[in-house]
Amino acid sequence: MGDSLITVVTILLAAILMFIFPMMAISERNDDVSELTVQTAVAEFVNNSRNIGKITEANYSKLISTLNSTGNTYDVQMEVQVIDENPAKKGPITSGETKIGENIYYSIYTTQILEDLEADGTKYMKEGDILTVTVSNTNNTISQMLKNFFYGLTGNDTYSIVGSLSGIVTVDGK
Amino acid sequence: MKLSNLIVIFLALALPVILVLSFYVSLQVDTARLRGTYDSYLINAAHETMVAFELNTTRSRYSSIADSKIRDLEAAKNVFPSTLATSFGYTGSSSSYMMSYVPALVFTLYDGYYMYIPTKTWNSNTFSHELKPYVYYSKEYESTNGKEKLIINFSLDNYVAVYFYEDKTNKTYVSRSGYLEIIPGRESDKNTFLANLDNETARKYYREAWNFTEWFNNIVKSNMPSETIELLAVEDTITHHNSALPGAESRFNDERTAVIKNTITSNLIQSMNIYSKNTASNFQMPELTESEWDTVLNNVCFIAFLQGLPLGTTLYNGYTIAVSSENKEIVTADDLVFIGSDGAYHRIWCPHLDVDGISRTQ
Repeated sequence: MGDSLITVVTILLAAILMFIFPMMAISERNDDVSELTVQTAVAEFVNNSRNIGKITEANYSKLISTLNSTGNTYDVQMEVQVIDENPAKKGPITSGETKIGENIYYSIYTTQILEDLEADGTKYMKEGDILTVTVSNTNNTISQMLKNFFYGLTGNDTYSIVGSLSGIVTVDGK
Repeated sequence: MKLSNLIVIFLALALPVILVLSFYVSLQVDTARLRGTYDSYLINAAHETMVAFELNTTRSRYSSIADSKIRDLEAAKNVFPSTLATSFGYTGSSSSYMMSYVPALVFTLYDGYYMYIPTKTWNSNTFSHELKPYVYYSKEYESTNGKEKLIINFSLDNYVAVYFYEDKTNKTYVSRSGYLEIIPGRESDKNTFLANLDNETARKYYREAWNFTEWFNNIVKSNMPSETIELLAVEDTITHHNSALPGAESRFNDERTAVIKNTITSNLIQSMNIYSKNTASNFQMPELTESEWDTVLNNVCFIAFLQGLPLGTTLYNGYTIAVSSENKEIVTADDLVFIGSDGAYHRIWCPHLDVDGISRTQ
């Protein structure tokens, strides 16, 4: 009786070690490789866009196609913080509008940027704006599913692949 | 053999492989992340340098004088290693350490470029970055019989400086410079075109440019072989437009851009070779893409190279181009701002631009 119990436990252990463990390890590496691709693509997209002062449709579709090549689905969040003056009517009328305080930023988000891309094919930015791009996966990768199954640690809305970069636009895009 | 023994053997084999693999992949991920960060550092440093250059030259009344410009460039160039060093976390005197990873810094200006490259000091084997003399975007053309020689210094627009040797063994030459321009619109003749202009500056520009272009065409057509004449033709024989204008699709512009590319790349490759031969690092000239060349050929730019920094398992090899948006070197059509009839300011490409009742959309 005792012997057969040990055999059953050993077989279970063997199954876990010989199948599940390698599968988990490999799927996790797979996610790492995806993350590498995502990180590189995002860095290239952000650095390129802020160096030419505009987000072009060509660059955006290149980013999307690189992301899709990893076999996952992604949520691409873009934000352009547009630098603007902080005008105020203060002091004598003759001096006209004067500037008070620091320059302020207002933000334009993904949907607004995509609208511009659809209309003109280009979203122009100017020197001093800040471009931030964050990419995270929306599907459950195999590694996430396995983790969910075994540990039940991760929820449904968590992501395992993420790439993010932001930077100041260095030139007026026309 | 017992099942438990099999498990132990499997673990002994698989575990190291999986561990090494996971370490390697995470190292690659870190490397990619670091490369992105280094790229950002480089872009920021180049941008800061360009801002310093703009601040120095646009506020300086004498920036068109070579001495003053060199001083401004020296000041701008000093910003580069200090910004880079600050990003990398080095401070103070160690900022010069970063320069050992910089094989070249290039300022491309209106009619030529300045290069900062590591140069061997005369009394020791150490290298220090020095400003090389101004290099013009120039090319030499020879006549069919090999007697006459024509040297043309191109610029970012239709301005050229020409040196013509009637006899190249003799050191005397004729030099003239000016804008290459033809009568806009095919049918109008010179005088009616000038009479219709209400601006004295424009009239003066066209008169001088036509005069110079006539002389230029004459020199080229009477001395140069047919293929050179084709290359340097100012008037497009098919469209009758000025083929020297920046942005025009013409053989003249192809030649101009080829000359600018060649002068920059040949000097860069040479200087990088010399430096890498004398140091442990293997510096190589990276290939600039077409769109990057397009930027360089139409703007005042600062190109910075950063190579040989340790980066995970490899070495970092990057470059960046910072474009100037405010300088006194060149005025392009995009820099012009018009006051429309609505009283607001417009750029030339603005769809709302409306001057004297004629809008751009019409």
